[in-house]
Amino acid sequence: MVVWALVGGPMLLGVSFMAAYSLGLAGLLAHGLSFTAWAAVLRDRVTWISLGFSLWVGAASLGASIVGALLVLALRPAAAMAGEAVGVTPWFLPIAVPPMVAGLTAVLWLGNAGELARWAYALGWIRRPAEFPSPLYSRDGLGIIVTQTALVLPFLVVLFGRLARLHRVGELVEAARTLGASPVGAWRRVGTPLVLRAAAPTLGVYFLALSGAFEIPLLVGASYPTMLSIRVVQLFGQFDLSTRPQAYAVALLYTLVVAACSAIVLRARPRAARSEGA
Amino acid sequence: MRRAAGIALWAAFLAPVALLLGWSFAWRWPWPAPLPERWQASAWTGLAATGGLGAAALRSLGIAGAVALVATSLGFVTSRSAVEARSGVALRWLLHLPFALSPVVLGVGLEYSFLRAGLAGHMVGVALAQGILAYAYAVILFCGLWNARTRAYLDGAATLGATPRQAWIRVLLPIARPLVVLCLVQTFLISWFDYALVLLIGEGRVATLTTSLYQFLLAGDLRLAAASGLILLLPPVIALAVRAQRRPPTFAGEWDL
Amino acid sequence: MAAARLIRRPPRRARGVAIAAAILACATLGACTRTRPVNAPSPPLPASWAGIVAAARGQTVTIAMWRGDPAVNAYLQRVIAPALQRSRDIRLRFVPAQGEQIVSALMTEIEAHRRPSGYDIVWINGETFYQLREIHALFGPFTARLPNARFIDWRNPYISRDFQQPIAGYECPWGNAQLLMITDSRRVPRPPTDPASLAAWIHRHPGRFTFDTSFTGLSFLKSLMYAFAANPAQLQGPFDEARYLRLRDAVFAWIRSVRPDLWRHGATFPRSTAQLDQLFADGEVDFTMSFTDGEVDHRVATGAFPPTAEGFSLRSGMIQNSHYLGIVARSAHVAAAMVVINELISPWAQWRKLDPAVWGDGTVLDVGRLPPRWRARFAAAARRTHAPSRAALQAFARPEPSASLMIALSRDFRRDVLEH
Repeated sequence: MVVWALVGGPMLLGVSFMAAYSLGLAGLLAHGLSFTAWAAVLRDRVTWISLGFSLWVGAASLGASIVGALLVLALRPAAAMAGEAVGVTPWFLPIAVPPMVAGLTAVLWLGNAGELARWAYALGWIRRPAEFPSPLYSRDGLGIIVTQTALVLPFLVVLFGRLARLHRVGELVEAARTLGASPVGAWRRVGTPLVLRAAAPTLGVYFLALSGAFEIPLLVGASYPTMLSIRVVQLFGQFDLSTRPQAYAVALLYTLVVAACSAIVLRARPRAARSEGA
Repeated sequence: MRRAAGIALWAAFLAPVALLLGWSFAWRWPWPAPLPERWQASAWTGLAATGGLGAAALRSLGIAGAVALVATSLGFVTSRSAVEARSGVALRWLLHLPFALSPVVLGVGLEYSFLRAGLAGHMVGVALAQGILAYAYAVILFCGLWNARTRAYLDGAATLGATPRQAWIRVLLPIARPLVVLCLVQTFLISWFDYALVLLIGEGRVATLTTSLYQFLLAGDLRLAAASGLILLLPPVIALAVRAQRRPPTFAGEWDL
Repeated sequence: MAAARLIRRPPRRARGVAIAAAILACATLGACTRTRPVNAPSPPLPASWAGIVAAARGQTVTIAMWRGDPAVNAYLQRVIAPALQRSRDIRLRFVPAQGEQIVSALMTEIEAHRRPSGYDIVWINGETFYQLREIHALFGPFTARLPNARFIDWRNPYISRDFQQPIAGYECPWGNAQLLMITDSRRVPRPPTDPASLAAWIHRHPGRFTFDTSFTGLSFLKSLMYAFAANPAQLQGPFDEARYLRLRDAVFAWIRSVRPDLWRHGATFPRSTAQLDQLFADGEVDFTMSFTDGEVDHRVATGAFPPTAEGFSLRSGMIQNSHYLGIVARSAHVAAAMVVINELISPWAQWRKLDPAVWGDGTVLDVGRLPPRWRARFAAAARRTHAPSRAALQAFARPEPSASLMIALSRDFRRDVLEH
């Protein structure tokens, strides 16, 4: 079948090559089946820290975005619909921003000598760049999380807003309110679960995509810990040539983790939502 | 009140762009000046001369255009079989995998095969690699097309004596048009935004806007980086403005909506 | 490969064995590979230089190089490229890639049996040269065939040896540079000039010093190794593992002692020299470094650095090295690559490069052997106001230790310092 071949074919090629190289069956360093690269990778503390860090950054970015987007929707219409008078809602704008530009913008705004730090200086709050509490390059990944949230939160406002319309959440929330619920309470109890359930598969894939980000961590991340995507490139580009099979092992490990996670995320097909959504 | 909130919201969203503009026209902008010391347009006038940025922009445009056209048409034609596949859940998983996977990891896996096939270091290779992502997206998107209502329309057309070709042109295409436009825009952006695959499959020899921008950042030239960042923003913003507020573009959500 | 098993985090006692094994692995790498050295270029090289020049006409030469310095980029794109096209009808194309990436890319090409290569000339030195030789990725020997090579200062060990390794005609010297510390004399009127006083300064000014994790930062660490060595000879000759470990531990101990007072408490380091330069220009830190000792004047002239920026050397020694141009063995444009390299070591190109207004990179030519009018030009171009003269810096120059030391240091720095 065409679809299987066009997408599955290249993926399979890629996976088998990574497997072969990491097992010593391909490449200049190959000398027959060997598990040394895998043993090294699996025993390396940094592998697991990078994996954990990737998942943390993905989860935190998505979590913050979900909470933020739900808050914006709960406080509608003042916020969510504002700006529509001009023609396009501004919530669409971040969708047009490539990650590379987002990273650059984060550096220019949030850096220790960034625009916000300069304002703080002008207001007399700080005297030197080092005093500005910049989230960039921090070991907890805050800079990456803030930047990714700035991109994803507006998108979720749009997505949730649309799902809410689709599932007539507005009417349900209205009904809950006539039954005595407070505006925010009605949204939290009625609207939120509906929207989140409908959006779950999208959010799952989004979580994995955010965990695999490359450009933004490259520009605003700390030198350690790093996202797994950066760790792979690091292992490739090391002065020590013998780490190449390890790079492929880490890449394959990550592929397997993502494949397993997305299988869980996508295992059920929300039929109800589909038939209504047409 | 609502008006004020709207203006504030727009300001918040446009401020980053304003800062990019400021940097691209700055001569020197040392700490702690809130505004550049002096203005100049040399980042813009010098762009063509220094980094071959014009060529990079054209290359990005060409690759993204080709990716969008091929992925969209191929996705449109093959999506029905994906919907009717018995292994629906598995296929859905496979189609989402390229997105869930980091582009870097995808590129690392593909690099060798592309090199073997003589495709690495060429625009064609880069476009093909991005095409895998774009095609998967297109299929996911067009699966939303094949719902009960569409099928009923097609059945109706057949009952009324339309040939399959007529049914496709007269019935299916009009229904699908908004989706096709959305798909073109989105697959274009998948390619336009991509950095990792250009880097790995292009081997640095295919200079697109994203790789040029990174080179400027690497060289510490924030002015040129800001200018190329603005050029990168241009097509998506135009696309958004044109499409105003129809369906929100999503990359993985369409299947479920 | 048994060696690979030992390389990853061995217990301390076994580390010596591991490093030895790693070096052995690298050394045997060439022998184990299934690829044979490619000595015969295709198409075959003409016998005479005139024939080579003729064969080079109309070709496009791809150069893989570090693109992180706008001055270098401008020199090649605006000075060299037009001249080459005019006089030799050769076009240049630049591919951004530095050391490790070049090795990785050429290795992948060899593994995928790609021929011709996508690259023709590579800008390299040290461990990159060493590794490229190991995987037989370089064409050569070729330097003896370049007419302009007769001007090169071959007697200078900083030029004829690359990280303790004889270049053997497999790469051509292009430039020579010495690591330089840079500060703002308005902010730091009397900069510290040895590790102890630097540490004291760092403790007195928390957050105002850092170094990058790229090539320049590692060279700073190697310079510190010289400071802790009993005499410079300890870091020369073939890799001596016991000495390395002792000096490495001394340097890492120094870093640990100052780390809490480094920029951002030493939790992170700038990724590149450009980022460090930016921190310096913005006033976040008071020092930056450059591996081009003529760069400060250039940076001041372009407004990137304040007019009070001043270069200085640690009196305990700073690394001086040369950088080279190699030709890729699988290149389809060997003749054109040779013509390009010959032009790049011509007195004219070297003189332009020396000018701080252009790049400020030291020459590899023996200026004394050039015609008198060139001598005067070189003397004038070498003048600078924001850094000590080359002659003054020469007293503190130290040669690069072996490539194996660089490989080990890079790995250990990541593992023992960065990842903690």
